[in-house]
Amino acid sequence: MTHSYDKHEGRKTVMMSFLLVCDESDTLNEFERCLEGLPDISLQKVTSGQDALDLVKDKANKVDLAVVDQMVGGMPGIRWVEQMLPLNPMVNTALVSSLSDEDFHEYTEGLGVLMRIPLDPDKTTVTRVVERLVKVLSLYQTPGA
Amino acid sequence: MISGRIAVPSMENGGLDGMRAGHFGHCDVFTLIDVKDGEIIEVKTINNMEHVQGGCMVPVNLLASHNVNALIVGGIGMRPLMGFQQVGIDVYHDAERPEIRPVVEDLIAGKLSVIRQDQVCGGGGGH
Repeated sequence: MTHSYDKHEGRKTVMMSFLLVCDESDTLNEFERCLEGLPDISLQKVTSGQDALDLVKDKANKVDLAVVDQMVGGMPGIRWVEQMLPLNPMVNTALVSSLSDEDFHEYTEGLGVLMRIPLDPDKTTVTRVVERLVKVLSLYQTPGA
Repeated sequence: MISGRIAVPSMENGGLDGMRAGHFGHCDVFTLIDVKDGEIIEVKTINNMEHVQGGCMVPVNLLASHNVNALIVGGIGMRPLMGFQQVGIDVYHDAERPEIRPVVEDLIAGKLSVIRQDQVCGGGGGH
């Protein structure tokens, strides 16, 4: 299932495009609810790992950040990230995990995951994700050429 | 390599006689070596950008914007490797020698290998 909606359509601001990739579990429901309260966020939610891969593969679909649940389509979320990277490495990712930050860093080393999402994400989590994404995207804009 | 621009992640001020940085995302500068007809014609350095977690595509954009054709690394993660491949920068691997000059000379002489998928850094969840 895919549904999408834009907030503040028509505003002359840069939208950040979020893709929530999850099973039918409700882990990311609160994350989604908190995102809805923020301006300039475009949000899509996909509950099929393959549909999500097809979406990011088509570079006409702008995805700034894929927020990936612990399990996607019966496989660990990290496997989805590994399958996604060859298709479109420009897509940033955040991954739901119960690991400590230190263990998570080792678990995802080399995959360039933006940050760990706890099992019970709240507004503070969403704020941190957005701030981190804004920082990374700002560095893309200043290549120093 | 007959002609093109080579980038080497470098420590401190870099340069052809400088030392390589082990982690390309955390290097101080990139040494850029321009090669024409198999000869080095110019060497310069560019500053690396701020490194933040998850920002490993930043140096990909940086080097692509400087028209780099080849990168020599001691190690690299899967995501930046995919990124460099996407923007058309060939990634070569030498994990042994810390000096810049010998790996550059070997690349020009065609003695350096393109990095293989099984040489990327990281566990990737226990791989």
